[in-house]
Amino acid sequence: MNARRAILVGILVLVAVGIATLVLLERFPQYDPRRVQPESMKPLDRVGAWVGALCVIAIFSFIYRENPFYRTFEHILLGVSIGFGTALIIRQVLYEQWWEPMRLGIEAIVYGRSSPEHIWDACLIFSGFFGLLWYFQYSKKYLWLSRITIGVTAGAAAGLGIKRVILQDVPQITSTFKNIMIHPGLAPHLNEAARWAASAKSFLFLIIVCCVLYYFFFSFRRDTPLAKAPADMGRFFLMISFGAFFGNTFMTRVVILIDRVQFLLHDWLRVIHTW
Amino acid sequence: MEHANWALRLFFFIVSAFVLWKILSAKRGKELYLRRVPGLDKVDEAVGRATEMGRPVMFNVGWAGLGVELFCSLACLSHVTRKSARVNTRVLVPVVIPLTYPICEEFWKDAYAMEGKSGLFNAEECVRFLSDQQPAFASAAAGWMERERVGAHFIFGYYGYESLLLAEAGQRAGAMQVACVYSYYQVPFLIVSCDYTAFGEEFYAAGAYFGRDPVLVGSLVGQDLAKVLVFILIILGTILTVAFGKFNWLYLLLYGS
Repeated sequence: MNARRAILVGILVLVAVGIATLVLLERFPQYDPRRVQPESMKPLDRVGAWVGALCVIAIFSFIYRENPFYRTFEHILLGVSIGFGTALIIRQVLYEQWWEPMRLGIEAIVYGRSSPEHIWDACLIFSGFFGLLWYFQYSKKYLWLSRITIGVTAGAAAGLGIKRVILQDVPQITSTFKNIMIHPGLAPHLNEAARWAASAKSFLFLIIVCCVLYYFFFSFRRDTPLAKAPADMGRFFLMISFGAFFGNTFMTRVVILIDRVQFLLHDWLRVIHTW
Repeated sequence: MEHANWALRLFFFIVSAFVLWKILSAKRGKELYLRRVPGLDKVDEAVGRATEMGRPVMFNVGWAGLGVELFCSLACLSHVTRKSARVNTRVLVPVVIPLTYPICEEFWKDAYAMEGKSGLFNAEECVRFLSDQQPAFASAAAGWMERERVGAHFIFGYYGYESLLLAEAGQRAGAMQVACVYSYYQVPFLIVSCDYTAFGEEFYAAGAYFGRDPVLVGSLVGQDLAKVLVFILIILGTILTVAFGKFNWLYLLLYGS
């Protein structure tokens, strides 16, 4: 059975289960959740729920195949996200963080009531000038001006990256300094078995860190079994951690799906009530 | 940690010295060894497969802004585009961050120009800014991939949950997929949905791996020496912790102020 046929069969099974549920609820009305009066929605909220449901179903139709219905809503989603994002940038970034502070700073300097803070704010005019240099990307003759801004931005990113490595990654080195031989004087509240367990955990941690670090060496040959073994162990430990990440993240995504199904069944179809 | 102390500054200078030493060695013509990265070996095969099927190639550069991660992705984009240009195959590049759009376009155009194939394809049709919102970008890129029926799909860079959406769409389109990401939360999903996956530091090594540029290769080998230094510090720190407890001189030295 190919994938498309499997999806069709799955959808048919779900529809059959839904019909069977409705028939059973007619037979046993005491279990019908629709008997509980749902909270009333304003007419505009009802319209919003219908529009939202249409969008959800249109995007989910991609599961079957790419179709004009999906394409239409994909383009609507793109347009809305870009329009919304543009309005957000103009309002919350350009106006609130650049234009207003710069205007107030320049006004304060012009009217002779400036402070050091106002002078710094007035200097925002230079960041506006640098930002405008980006648009020389569209000029063949003055393209080099846009490279100034790219260079400044890339240089700032490199500098911040160095700071991040020193201040965030170096503490990870100190956090690997673990005591692999815990004696009674160090942990008097632990019994012997607990001390051995804690020591073994720290020793395993050290082995895993070293093996994973060894796996990411690129310039050392691994021709011999002794050189290859730590790298293989490092990859094995990484795969175990990936399995844990997979399970954790998978649960988060199932929760997102449940939220969408709940929107369709509660807000749109009104066939379930919330607890 | 608020500020670096003298020990951390020394550590920084030692690491920089390693990198500069190896870059100079590479520039002087010394052959520096780089081990095989199996996932990255298959890039050429994927481009060849797409060419045989008469389908385009799609290269995703990821969510990174103007920084190290973007330039690593762009180095790989340049390599893939040059390979594709040699065999007259189209490379589609969906862009997420608007700031990176002109840079991606420039890399794309330069790659075709280096192979003498300028004007073969229209840059505006092939390099597109889609959206900087994750769900909108994922929908648009998935739809584009399915409509164009891409033959090879490359997922390089930083991604959120949309990585799986892209990989699933690529699988549905029948593309051969190679992923190289450094976000560990997305690697498991890409391992199960892509044909070949490289991760972590291998992403940063990819640029040097493809181009064999002396600066990139030298910096990669220099970073390996820095990792050896970290390795030594970890072993030494553990020994000192066993002997003198957690707050030994090495811990206090590296802790900063």
